[in-house]
Amino acid sequence: MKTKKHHLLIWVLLCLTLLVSSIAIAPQQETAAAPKTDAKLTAIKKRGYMVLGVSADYPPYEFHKTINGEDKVVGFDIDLARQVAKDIGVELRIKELGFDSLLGSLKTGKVDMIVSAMTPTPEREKEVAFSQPYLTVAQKVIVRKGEENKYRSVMAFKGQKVGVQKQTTQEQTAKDELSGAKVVSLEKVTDLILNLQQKKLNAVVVEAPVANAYVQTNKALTLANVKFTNADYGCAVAVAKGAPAYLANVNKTIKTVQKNGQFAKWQKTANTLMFSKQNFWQAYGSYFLKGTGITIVLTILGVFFGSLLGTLLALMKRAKNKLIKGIAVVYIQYFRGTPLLVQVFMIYFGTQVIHLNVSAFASAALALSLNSGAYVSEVIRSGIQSVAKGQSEAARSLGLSSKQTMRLVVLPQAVKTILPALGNEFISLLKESAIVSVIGVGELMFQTSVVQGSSFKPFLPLVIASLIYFALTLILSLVLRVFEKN
Amino acid sequence: MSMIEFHDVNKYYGKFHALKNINLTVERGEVVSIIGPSGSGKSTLLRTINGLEHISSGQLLVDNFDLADAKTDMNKIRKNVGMVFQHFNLYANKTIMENITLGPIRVLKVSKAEAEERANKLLGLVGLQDQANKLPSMLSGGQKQRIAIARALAMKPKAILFDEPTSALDPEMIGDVLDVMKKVADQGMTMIVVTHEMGFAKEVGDRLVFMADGEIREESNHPKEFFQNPQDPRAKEFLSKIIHAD
Repeated sequence: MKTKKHHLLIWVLLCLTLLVSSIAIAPQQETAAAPKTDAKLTAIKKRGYMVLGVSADYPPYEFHKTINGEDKVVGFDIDLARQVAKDIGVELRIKELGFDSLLGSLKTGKVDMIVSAMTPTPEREKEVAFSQPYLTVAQKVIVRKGEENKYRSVMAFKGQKVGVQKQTTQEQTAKDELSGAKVVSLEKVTDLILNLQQKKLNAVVVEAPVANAYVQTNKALTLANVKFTNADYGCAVAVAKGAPAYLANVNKTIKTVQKNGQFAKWQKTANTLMFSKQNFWQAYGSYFLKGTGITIVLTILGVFFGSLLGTLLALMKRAKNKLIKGIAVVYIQYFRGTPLLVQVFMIYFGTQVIHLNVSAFASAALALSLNSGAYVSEVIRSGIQSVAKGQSEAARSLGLSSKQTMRLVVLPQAVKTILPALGNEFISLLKESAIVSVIGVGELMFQTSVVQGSSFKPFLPLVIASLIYFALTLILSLVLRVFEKN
Repeated sequence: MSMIEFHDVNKYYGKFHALKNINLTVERGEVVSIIGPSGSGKSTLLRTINGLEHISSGQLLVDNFDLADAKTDMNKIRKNVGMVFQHFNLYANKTIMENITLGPIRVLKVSKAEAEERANKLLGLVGLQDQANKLPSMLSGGQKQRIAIARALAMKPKAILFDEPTSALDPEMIGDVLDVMKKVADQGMTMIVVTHEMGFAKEVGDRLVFMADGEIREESNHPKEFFQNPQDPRAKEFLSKIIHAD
């Protein structure tokens, strides 16, 4: 009961600050006369839709919820974005990304705006343009229950490990105000909470709405009574720079929904949705199912095209032509010598730089294929080398061409060595596919983090995901063993 | 025209001088044995004839084709010059029948039926009619080598190169293989045989070539005389060791 009162109080305060800040900002905005339209706005209108970039694992701002059996991205950020699109007169399309990928996506034009609990910071303002804040929030410190008395001031965190979400306002706050604390930055709030529960962290700094949600749903956690001096930050909509009319449109929508109380209603709805109790399997089973399906499809695509490419590369590497050979050598070296994570980003954002709009799924499939191609080519090459030299000498001595020799004598024998190694490659590809969750492909790992975020259960979804991966690789290795026997 | 002509042929592996100024002519229908200590360049010499090794300088004519000429289609020469290897090199993934018919079907474009008919005759020649559907791994070394000879014959070559065909065999298998080689020689096939079988060189060979250190040290048109009275000191030394070993 106490926590609930506390929670309500925060919201009342919040709404008050919002009201005050909106009044304060309003006159400034009106004096700046924005042009009627700009290239960006025209382009969006012409297209008929705009793309929202969001990291939908941050309730109540944005999160997944199954409503009437259908998976939806909800939260007041989403409502606001939808209103912005409606006011411009276009349809809204939602693109889910990791929080770290948001700014990159906006800059390269993959998305048209970010509404994802993002706070304007000087660093970010260098990259993109921000609207006026649509929400002002306080920062809170979550600690394990029973330890709240240890942390009564910002000075109490000296030498303590304090977790924050990477590249967020809380990261800055913790570094600036919790003097002497060891600040640990992680990608996701769910990971932070998990670390806190496992005593790997002693405190976590998050925004008040999120903090309240976790404390309410998790009996082992509570809020520390710590006040930050400079802790109230605004959340704003980010758009690309150089589009004043577009930005003015966004600001106008924000002002309207704050004045007419619409935004407050959205917040209420989001909170209700966030805390509505559901059976875990009923609520989230479909996420795992969908994620597993996409993981399997991605792996099959990667394996198929990777094998084709790998065969081609292996043959190129054996070519007499130095240029062809060189291309294959450099390619293989590059894709085996750089992390898959980097390759995924390179392809997803790189295609945008050269003005190709490739979807996250296609980028992921491409990255996995290109990457596995490099490994498969080495598997095939060593398979070919394992065939005794005498076999091809005999074939050549009887007048078979080098192509015939390869096709009729060498490759059929190489397959015996290649198949088991190829099987291992497929198993590792299945596991590696988890990496593409960073660009928002809805495969198993991505869905897991969605469930972590919206269920406020950071650990259980991980256990489920690991069991699913394990089952998949187990089935795959059994299938391969049957194949090898034949 | 001679079948094979070496004119001042040299072969280097990097700095190593593997073949030194080779001059050798093999007439059609001739059986030439090449003997000499190991590392003397016998196998290298043999392998230059069908282009498995390239020559560094000089001229090498095989069936009137110039092997040093980049325009020469090696596959045409290989079609006409068969080879039998020390380690047989039967295609491990193919049956005996497929081993013998692969070349005729793929290179000579003979129909499968025709190729198999001829293969059966050749299997008769080498005494292994009943092995056609087995895989090479199921045969003994001597049987494998006889199949390898049948495989070479199936291409109807103008010459066959034998690279130490009995060196990897158990002693009791050697006789069968040599018998088959004698039969082939009797049919008038041009044969160049790198061998350690002095009996074969003495009895079957028309001519004998002794190599040491990459050079042809002695050549004899009368192998029997060579074995009784070698001229070259290295040949004398070699023969004395062989006889002691026997």
